[in-house]
Amino acid sequence: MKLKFAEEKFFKILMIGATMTVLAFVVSIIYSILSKGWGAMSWDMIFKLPGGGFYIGKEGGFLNAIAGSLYIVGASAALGLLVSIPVVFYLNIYLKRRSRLAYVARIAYDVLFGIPSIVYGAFGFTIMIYFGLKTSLLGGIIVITLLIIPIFIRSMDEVARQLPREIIDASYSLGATRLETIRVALRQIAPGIATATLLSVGRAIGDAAGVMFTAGYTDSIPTSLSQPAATLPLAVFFQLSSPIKEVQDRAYAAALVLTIIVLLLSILGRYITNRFSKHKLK
Amino acid sequence: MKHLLQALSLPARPRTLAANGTSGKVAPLFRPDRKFNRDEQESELIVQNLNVHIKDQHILKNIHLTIPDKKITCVIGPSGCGKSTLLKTFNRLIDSIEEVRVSGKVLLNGTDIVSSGGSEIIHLRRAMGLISQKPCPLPMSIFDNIAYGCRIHGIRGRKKLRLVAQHYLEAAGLWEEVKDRLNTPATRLSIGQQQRLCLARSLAVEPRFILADEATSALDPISSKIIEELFIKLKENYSIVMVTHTLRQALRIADNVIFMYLGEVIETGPADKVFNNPEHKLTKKYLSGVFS
Repeated sequence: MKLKFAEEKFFKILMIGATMTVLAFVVSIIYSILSKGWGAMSWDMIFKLPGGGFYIGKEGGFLNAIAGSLYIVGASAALGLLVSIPVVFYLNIYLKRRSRLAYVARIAYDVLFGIPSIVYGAFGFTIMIYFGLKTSLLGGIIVITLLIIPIFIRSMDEVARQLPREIIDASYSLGATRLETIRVALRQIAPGIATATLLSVGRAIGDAAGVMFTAGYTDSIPTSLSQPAATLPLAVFFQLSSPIKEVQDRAYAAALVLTIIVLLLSILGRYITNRFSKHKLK
Repeated sequence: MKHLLQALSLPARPRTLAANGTSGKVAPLFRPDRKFNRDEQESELIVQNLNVHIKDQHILKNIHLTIPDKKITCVIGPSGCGKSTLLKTFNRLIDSIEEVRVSGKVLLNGTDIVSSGGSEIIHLRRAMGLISQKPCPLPMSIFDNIAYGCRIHGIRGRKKLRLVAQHYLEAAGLWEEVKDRLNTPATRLSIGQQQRLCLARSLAVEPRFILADEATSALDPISSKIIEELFIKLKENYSIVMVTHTLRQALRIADNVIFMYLGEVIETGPADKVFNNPEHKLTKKYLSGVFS
């Protein structure tokens, strides 16, 4: 009996330890970004484009990178959802449970999930060269969309597979078609879709390798899809490789902005999830 | 060939509305069909030589049945005897089971359910309201649960839908309990209320049959009693097929009884006769509780 109690205690401490380690990790990352970036942070950084001597520590900001990142993430999240929602419903409502196609497709998405983003970047780059395209906002959007589609599909698929059979049957037995039934199913898995979007957006906004070859980098805000676009991760990367202290600090400021955007998005995501799960069948 | 689509078409005004005359405002719900007025026609369900295989298993064996109009028909028998599969054949939900083969005929007004396809199935399912064992409200508000079925069959307009919702919630004895919170999620209702909501939802698309698959087995005694009483009331207008595990329940409400055992129909007939004077040895044994 005593041993049992000790065992219980031991594992409890282990669990608390693990949780604390992760928390400490998050806090220390935020601390290091804040301590190094806060000094360089100013409204200019967020609201101004890089000036003439920005990369040697003179005036300007990285609005170009913020705008580029938001453009790419917004567009690719929308495109990604557009492609992956039909895929998820095809797999889960139209195909039978033990369909071979669904099996093969799921493996394919798992493989895609595991491919590093630099490979997507290189793939996009090859195609762009083939068509004689230059680095552009469009290229970045397409590659990031490809990158996050597997994340979308796999995380929504997990939720859709838990979809109660009874809901589908209930809808069918009222005389609904499969398409009408999907609308019901959509309400049930809406929280899952919100979570999937959050995961995908987080990955998309933080990705540097995918956009490096495809979106390029520029000091201005793109006004058309064919112009190159700067992104926050690349802004961090380029400034961090500078030997000048001020520029390095600005890299941390850019990282801080990136983190804040992700944080805001996840708070928004949670809010939306809660709103959507109002009707969800437990 | 007579199409199910026509055969299943609905009357000029919902019978329930006409019957208890709560409001003439709602009717007519669905477009009438001149040729087949449901009210003038007996809608018997005739099963001929029905066989169902799932994978290698022979689930239903040579079923011959007639399910009469406007009666409560209880299907009894030990678990695994194919009662639920029989119900699923009636509304073609059996289609979603993998590796299933169905042969034989199930005739509704002379139209075969087994061989119908495409949009006929949609009309068929609408004619066969299903109440499942575990109540399963759709993930939406109480109001939308009722309105959903009407909307997919082309009824629009919030005012109209509200009248429809009120009417069928009244028919299911739920209106008084939910009238002030029609927009709250259906999942907040108690399980007994949810089952009545599911009943109202099925009634709202104007079925002819109500298929109840152990509809009261997940409910508390009071809620099951309410459902039973509703069924007795509803049989004026609907034909009810009820799968049940509770013999006493069958005794209470059945007009007709079908006793199934291992995928075969052993005995069928009026409840009085089957319960008091069963012909078959197996039926006697089952009724006396030798096996269950």
